[in-house]
Amino acid sequence: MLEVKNLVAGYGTIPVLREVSLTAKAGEILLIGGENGAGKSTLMRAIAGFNKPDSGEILLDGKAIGGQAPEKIAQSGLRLVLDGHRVFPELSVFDNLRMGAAARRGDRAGFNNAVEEIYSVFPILKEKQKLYARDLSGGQQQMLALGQAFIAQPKVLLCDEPSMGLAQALLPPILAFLRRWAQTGTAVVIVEQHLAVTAPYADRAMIIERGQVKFSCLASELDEKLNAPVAAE
Amino acid sequence: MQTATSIQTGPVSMAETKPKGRFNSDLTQVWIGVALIAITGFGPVIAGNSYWIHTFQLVNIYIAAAIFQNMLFVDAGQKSFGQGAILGLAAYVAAILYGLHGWSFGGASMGGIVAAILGGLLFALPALRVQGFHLGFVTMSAAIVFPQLLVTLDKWTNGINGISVTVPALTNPVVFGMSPLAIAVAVFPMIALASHYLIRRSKLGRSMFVAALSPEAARSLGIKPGVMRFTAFVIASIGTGICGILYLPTVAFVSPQGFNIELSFVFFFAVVVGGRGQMLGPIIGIWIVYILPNILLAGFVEYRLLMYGCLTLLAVMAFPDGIVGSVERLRAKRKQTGGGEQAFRIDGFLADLQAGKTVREPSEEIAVEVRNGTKKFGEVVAVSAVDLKVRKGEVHGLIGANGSGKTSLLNVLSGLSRLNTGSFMINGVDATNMAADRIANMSLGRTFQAPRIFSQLSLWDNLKIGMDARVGPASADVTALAKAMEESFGQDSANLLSHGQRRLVEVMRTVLKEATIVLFDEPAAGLSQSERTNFANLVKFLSRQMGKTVILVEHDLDLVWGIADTITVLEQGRVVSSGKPDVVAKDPAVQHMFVGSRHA
Repeated sequence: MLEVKNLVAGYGTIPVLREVSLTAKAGEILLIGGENGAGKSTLMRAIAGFNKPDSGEILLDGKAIGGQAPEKIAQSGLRLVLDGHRVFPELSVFDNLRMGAAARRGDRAGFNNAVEEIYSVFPILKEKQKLYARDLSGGQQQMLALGQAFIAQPKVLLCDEPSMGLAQALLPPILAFLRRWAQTGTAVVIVEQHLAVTAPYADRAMIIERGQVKFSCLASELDEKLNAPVAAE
Repeated sequence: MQTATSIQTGPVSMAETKPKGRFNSDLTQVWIGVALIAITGFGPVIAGNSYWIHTFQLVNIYIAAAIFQNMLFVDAGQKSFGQGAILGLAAYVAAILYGLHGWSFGGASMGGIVAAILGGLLFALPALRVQGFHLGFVTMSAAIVFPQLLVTLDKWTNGINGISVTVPALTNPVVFGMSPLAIAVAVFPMIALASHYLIRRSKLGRSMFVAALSPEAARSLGIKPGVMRFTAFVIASIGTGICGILYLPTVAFVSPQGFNIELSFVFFFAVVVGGRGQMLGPIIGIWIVYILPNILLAGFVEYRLLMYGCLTLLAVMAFPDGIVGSVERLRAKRKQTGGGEQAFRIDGFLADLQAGKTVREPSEEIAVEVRNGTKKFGEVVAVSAVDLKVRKGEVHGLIGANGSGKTSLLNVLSGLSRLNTGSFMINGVDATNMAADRIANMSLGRTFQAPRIFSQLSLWDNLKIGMDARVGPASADVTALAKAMEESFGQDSANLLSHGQRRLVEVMRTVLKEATIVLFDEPAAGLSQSERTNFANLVKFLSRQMGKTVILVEHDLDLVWGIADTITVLEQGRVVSSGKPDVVAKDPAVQHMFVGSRHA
């Protein structure tokens, strides 16, 4: 579904990402971990078109999307949920969800079902659907951003730190929700610091270090792999 | 605790060679600027052409005014479109006192500058209520009304006829064929440029900047945004007022038409065309916006206003950051440093700080106490009848679901919002109705959920804001820490930091401030496992070795249980459990929070 080959990208003259390759298959969750500043967010931004890649290829459904404008990439069915909860503060919660439907016009019934599903996973959003998004707490805004992405039904979903600012108890239900979502045929990429909590929900995992892929493995083997070099030292 | 998943990176070597970068080119720009001003200031005199002498004297005066506009507009964030009126006010008042009432030129000049300051204060008044382009329109209206006012008040101003003056003492040549006026007009823009540079690098400059970009952050650092706005307007008015005084003998005539809105626009356009915030910007800006239409294309002088507009439009379309700004951007792109995994780490500094400190336990004295505190937003009760006691030197964890009122409580404690009922004390002093800056100056520091990092400042300047917020002199430890950080981060760009690193920068600000009470709002969100461990060590160090009181709002329960002495659990604004961590952990009321945690 999503294929990235030898991606080089950064800000200014120093590349942050050096020859990063990854694949995300439909129906699968890929977990990306690594230190802060390793280039995880830059990778997400480069795939979504916010950073122009210096070289390398990005294929969505076999079509090259590298270097395209973010709105064009979004229309092709790729969606990035940023960290730091980006929602439209001056719109109501419900209208924020409706913004997600901009990509799927004319599908009224599908929209209603999607909204119901979001409300069942995050009941607080239903409770506050008439309030302005700015009146939500940070964590609730994160839920709303995810909900908006869900309504858009992208082929590929990139999630930058979904746990940011969320009560710990909320992370498993969100991950379970992403899991179910992936099973409907969406390719999901999650960047997360809470690897231990996230790994059981992912299929494959990848660690980025200093702008390069350190290793990738099955998510179930992540714990073991991470501890291996420590034991060797 | 979660070491199983931590990514082990070796100990950090600070000696890792990093490319030598330079965060900005302010100082270089100042020197280039001084050279350019010298050319327009002394060049025509050397060439001996009296037409050019006169024209470029005016150019230099306008350059100085545009420099103050630049400072006011960018460094202090005050969008004034009426600086031409301030210049005119000084010139007119001086002309009236000197030309019509026979004052000495010195006395009349003082009168003019006082008038300019009063005019600036008049601009600052609406700035307390409105900001951004609303303020722009208010000041612009003043600039539009000003010439009309001069005509209407003809009893004092000579109305449409204007006032002619001569100041022979200033305009007769004394050295090298230059009059005192010519020297003053050449030197003053240099002084203006140097002042702008020095103010920007000073504590005052940083405080004005922070107050403009994030009033909330400023107040929590003990800065009064209103005072900063007034100060900025007063500084700009004095500078612009002196320009007005110099204008008087240079032109030898004032009339209402000389100070219409066009003049204010020239200053504003010059800043935009040259490059907002760039030291050299106003100089290049005046050259393009003023010299081009008025001197090179003098034959089309009646289309001047149209030309100002077209030039600005063309310049801004070709160079969105202004001319100097675009050059600077290219330079910064090649020279910028920072970013990456080692961009901001605290472990290295922490190890130095910890050496040889004794460990002490929290005392029984109370640092923060909330009594029956309730905070409502409309119908929504964010904090409901909360009682809270935090001991001096302890780490107090504040946990709860999203929207349970944790941040609202921190906002109350830091003075950013007021309790509806109830009260709270800080170190035994009732702080219920205190302004945020007063609370901050009682040595309370805080961080925000969305870190307040200013990309226009270097990484070190971002940290130095914490030093600026200090109440007393720095301890030896903090002085050493600051020095080490200045060396490491002096030229780094803060913009390249990842989200987690930004949080740590905010945390470090409170360390540099040496706040005795620190409120952390979700400091660990977005931190990697190793950064979490470092952060936990830092909090332990602050509490146990430095005796600081820490209130920690955090979702990572493993982290909280690892470092907190007392934990308070909020649910829908109410305290549902409070006490020692092991006791709270067994409380049935909080069991559901542990889903997904390794702690339970």
